[in-house]
Amino acid sequence: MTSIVKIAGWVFAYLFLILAPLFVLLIGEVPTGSGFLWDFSMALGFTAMAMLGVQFFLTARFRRVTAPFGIDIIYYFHRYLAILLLVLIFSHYLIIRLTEPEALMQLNPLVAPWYMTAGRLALLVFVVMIVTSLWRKALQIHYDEWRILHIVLAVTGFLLALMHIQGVGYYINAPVKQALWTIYIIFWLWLIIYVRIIKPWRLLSRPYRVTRIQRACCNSWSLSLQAEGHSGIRFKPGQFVWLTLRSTPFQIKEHPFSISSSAMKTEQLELTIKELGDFTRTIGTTRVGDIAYIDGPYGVFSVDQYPDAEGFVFIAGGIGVAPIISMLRTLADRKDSRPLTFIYANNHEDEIIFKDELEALKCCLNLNVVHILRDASNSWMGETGYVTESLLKKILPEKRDGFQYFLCGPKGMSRSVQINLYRTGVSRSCIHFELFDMV
Amino acid sequence: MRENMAKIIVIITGLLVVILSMFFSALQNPDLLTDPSQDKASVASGSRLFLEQGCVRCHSFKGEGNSHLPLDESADKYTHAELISWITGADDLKGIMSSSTMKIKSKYQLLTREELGAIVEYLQQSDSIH
Repeated sequence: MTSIVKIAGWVFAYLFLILAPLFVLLIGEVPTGSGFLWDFSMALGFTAMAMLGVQFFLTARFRRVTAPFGIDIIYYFHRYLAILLLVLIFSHYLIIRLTEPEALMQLNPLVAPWYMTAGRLALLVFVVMIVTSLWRKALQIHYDEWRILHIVLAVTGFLLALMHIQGVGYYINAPVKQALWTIYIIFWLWLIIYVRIIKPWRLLSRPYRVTRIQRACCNSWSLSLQAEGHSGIRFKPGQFVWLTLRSTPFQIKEHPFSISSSAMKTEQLELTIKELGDFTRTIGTTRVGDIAYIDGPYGVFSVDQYPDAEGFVFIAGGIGVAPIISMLRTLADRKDSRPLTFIYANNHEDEIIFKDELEALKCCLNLNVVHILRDASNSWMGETGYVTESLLKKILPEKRDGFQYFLCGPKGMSRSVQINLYRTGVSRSCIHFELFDMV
Repeated sequence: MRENMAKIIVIITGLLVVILSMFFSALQNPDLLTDPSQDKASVASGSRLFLEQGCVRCHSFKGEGNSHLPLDESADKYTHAELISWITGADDLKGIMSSSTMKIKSKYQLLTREELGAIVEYLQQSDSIH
């Protein structure tokens, strides 16, 4: 099946999941309409509940679902959908507030019916979720703490919304609808149990052991992991995994990192990590022998997605080299002879990761490596500044029909390089990149 | 481009949800589409008022409405006057009915004696489901 068909199939399934429950409400015994705005508000509320369930599904990391899109896009989708969800829930409340304020009953939870208080609390929980997710860094919430908070709030909000619907009882009192609604809710609750209990339990039986921790440059480390009692994972070069280190998969302290080793050597994984955030700043303190858990692989940022490509151009900034080196190492192991160009941007010369290995790879690959530094010393003989349109025109091979382009670097750099590539005549469909730093 | 795909699907979702919710609501309120100019006074029967006044949001009667609080047996338990007190949240029910419910019911005090009577007569129908 082609990717387009798969994408269309999943989008259809998603729309069915969120819209079908609305029409289930019209089966059998149906309450009489109570005014256009009233029933419109009810429909928004029920659809929002269905979307809440889908939110759990989106972040459950089912590989078959995420593969056609790329998991980064799924997470972006999860974020945008959450904003839409909040708008729908707020509209559900606001319409009743403006048209039938008495129906909301009293605000005071001591005298208000429990199910109305549950609805209000659910709305409050969703507002807190959105605020803490969109502005996590500004609010100085540690990533690990945020993830636990996010999960607790999501489950709490979901249960409160469920209590609200069950308590009000409007539209779902008929036995058939009670049964269908119950099945629907059980499905989402099962999903939560699968993601938070069954999946971590499976990961627990497939541990890895740290066999080497090596400084890759001034503030980056390469971590080598050996599969213990299993054969490791098969991955495509350029993919990434979620790493759990110094804790168990149940503790939700996992972080995404690109695999930097060759896809031809699955028993030993290497991750190259820059000291950037709360967790990565401690990566240098990892000790040989520490146990790690790997969830993955994920992502579509790989040369293996384009087996018929005539050649590849890689453009990376800083730690963005990690998935690129994995692709180069794999192509070298496969003795690939296609023309390759790698433009590698850094601030300073001492920040260049894998400098010697990139030179060595030139011997076994048809590879042109171009380093570019923003702040070069007087002794630097290479390119300086940024990856501009003129630099690309100078470096890119003249004959590049059928080439695929892979970008990996900071968001600002990735955007500007995309624009510069378009200007040099590269088609959008040939440019590939992944989006991270979502919260 | 890939990020835009996520945005576009969310926007399409939002539009579909709004359109289908409106469709759902229109199906539930066919009178709004078929006969918007209908004179309310001419159809102010108890049954009509029961629906129009939104009683079905909290109560059911003869299988219609929110079965959370059925009114099918209300006529057996209360007199005509008592039923009007319950509908309007009369002062003598303070302590029996919660203050939030009293507040909701207070709006029915604006109904005319004839309209309240029509609702009570509707609830007292002998063919109600017991």
